[in-house]
Amino acid sequence: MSVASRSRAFTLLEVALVVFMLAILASGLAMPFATQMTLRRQAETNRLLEEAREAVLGFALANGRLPCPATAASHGRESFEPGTDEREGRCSNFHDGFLPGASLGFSPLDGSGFVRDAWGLESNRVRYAVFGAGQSVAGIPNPLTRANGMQAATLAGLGSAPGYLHLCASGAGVGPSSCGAASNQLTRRAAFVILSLGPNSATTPPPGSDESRNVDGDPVFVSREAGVARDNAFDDQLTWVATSLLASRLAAAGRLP
Amino acid sequence: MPSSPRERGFALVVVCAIVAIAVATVFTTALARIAGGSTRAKATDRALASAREALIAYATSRPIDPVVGPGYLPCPDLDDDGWAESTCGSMTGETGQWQRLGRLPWKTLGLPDLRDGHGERLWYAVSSKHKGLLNCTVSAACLDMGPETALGTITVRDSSGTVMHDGTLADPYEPSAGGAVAIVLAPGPALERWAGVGSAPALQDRSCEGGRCNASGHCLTHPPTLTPKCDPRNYLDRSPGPAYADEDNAGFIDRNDLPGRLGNRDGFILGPVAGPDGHIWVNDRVAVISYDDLMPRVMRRVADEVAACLRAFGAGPANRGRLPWAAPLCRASDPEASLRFADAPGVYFGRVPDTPFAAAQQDGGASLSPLWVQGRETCAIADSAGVTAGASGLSWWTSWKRHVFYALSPAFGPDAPTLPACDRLTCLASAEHAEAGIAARQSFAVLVAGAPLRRGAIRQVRGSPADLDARNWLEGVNAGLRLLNPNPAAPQCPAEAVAGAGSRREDALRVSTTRTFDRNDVVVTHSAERAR
Repeated sequence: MSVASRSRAFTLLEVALVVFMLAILASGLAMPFATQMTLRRQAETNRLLEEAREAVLGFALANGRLPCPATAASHGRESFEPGTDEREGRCSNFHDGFLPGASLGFSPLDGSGFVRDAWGLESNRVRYAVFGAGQSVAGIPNPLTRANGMQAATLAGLGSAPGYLHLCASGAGVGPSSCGAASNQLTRRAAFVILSLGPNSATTPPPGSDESRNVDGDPVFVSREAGVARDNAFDDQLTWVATSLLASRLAAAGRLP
Repeated sequence: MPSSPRERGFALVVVCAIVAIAVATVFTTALARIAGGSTRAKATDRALASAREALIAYATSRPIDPVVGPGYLPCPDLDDDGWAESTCGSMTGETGQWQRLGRLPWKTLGLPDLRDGHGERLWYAVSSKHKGLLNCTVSAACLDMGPETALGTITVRDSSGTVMHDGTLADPYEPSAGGAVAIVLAPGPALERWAGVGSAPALQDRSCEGGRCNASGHCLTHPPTLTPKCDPRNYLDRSPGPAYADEDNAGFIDRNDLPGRLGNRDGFILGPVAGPDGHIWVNDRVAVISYDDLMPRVMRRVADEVAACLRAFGAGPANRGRLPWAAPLCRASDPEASLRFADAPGVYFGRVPDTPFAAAQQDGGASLSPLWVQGRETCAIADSAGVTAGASGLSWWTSWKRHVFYALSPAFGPDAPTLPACDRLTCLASAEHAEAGIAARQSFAVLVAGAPLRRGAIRQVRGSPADLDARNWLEGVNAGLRLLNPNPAAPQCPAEAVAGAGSRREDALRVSTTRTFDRNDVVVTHSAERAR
């Protein structure tokens, strides 16, 4: 019997050991699986942003102007100030609106006509900002969103305008209309910005953090590598198009000058 | 012993489970690697395409002024701060060769931080002819970026070593076979770089340690290439020996003076390049910007600028939609220099006239302006006083104006009545849409002649006295616009023997805007409806 009891104890130990080993192996599989998922979602979002960028440029080729951002209540359609339309180009939200998926004919859209990034929450609606907000180029207010506004502003006028939307390498020293130090500036000539808030979209970024700069409604945005620093975590993904590239596409299509 | 067989059975299950998990792990990793490989390749292609488009946009869409015209590209970024350096070699490219290969200046181009599929920033090489120079304004040769002179200089080979673009060629008849204008490279992952037969290949070192970089990753050494992170040899690869032209992507030679051009054999090779044993020695992916990618767009920009000047002229309140006479070609080499680009009465087709538009003012009365519209930014071929650019001092327009032609509809001539009216005998029409009726009527056309053609029946020659014949510049119906002019076009000219004498006037009013194999003019027209 002593043999039998020893062997029974051995089996128990064996089972414990095996369960432990299985757990380690499974977690070894699961860990890269989680990072794989994150990377995959980032890559997918990146691709989505690029598709969105092409869709906005396509809208510009077809209409000779950029679309206005959608508001939370506009069902994915571009939204102008009440009582105005594309003849004035006055958007209701120039800098803190959403990609007007319905106006762009984009797919897939969520139930309200918005485009969502790969994380898929309602707060993950892809955002979109466009230059304007009453600023003029060559005497033409809101030249990019106004019908034939770029034609009226002329290539030369568009080229010599001092600035459009600003993209900064970090939020440090950023003001409401510039990146602060010149070394902090990525570009000041972005015609539009397309933005995904990433996995933490549902939480409000702490005031003063780099992420807060992207939702504060001013024409200055921050684009940097993802990081998890406390109080300044960053997982937004952005893409943008310079005004020169927009003008070049329009000129190639015969929309300019 | 009833327990012993149970134990053995359990061990088998355990072994099976472990084997299954191991197989699954190996399988998923392999699958992820394969899928990852194609996503990486796609990401690289997308980054290269964005870079290419942004560079072409930079050359064609930048603001220009009466001195410096379009067609220049930025210098590369050597210290990885994203901004183009302000200089990259002398005008002929004799000096500063290493400064013409660096990273893509993504901030200068207004691009996001582009990365290839392996997370590396892109590299970029620019031709010595197309690099933008701050002191370009002091040299007429540097300002000359016309279709016959702005030829590429960079040699490009395909992955077998065969030349695709030959930088030693300076033949305006073969601009597309000649060198490339710029190159964008995606460096891919670090590999063991070929170091020649008998030498051990060394792994590329992309580090930035020992205080050679600042917190933002910018290289601080002088020159920056002393830092491994900013040394092209650690990113760009070398082909394995003479069978692949011994091409090293970390260096090239491109001069644009005639004796120097012969050395332009050293250029770039398109990866991937595999040795005889299948080993990949070059993993750089390359996007080429050729003469054909850039020049038609630059010509279009020039045409647009001239059209803007003419539009602004016609829109002047006193000018009432009327346009100046053209400068007849037959006086292009007149001994009297002031006549060469001067307008002449009744000339509907010719080159864009220099100011003052004396003949136009004679026929149109004192109300017609003898100058372009005054003020900056309205007309890039004139100074702020409305005088043709280059009349005193240097200008890009001086070299371009031989290439730019202008046809005006008789209805919009200086002698036209108050409100110009269009019919099929008085207005230009697009040859492609001749049946479209009044909507196709154009008030004027600006035609920019490309490099000379030697194709099919066309044998174009440039230089005096061939310059006097429009057929040496424009092709097809566009050259036929000369039949609109009186014969001879100006008192100083001999009468032209016209083969198709008696041809219908409305046929001479045709202008073709499409580019084909045997027509390389870039044409911009202005709708008569909008001109009124």
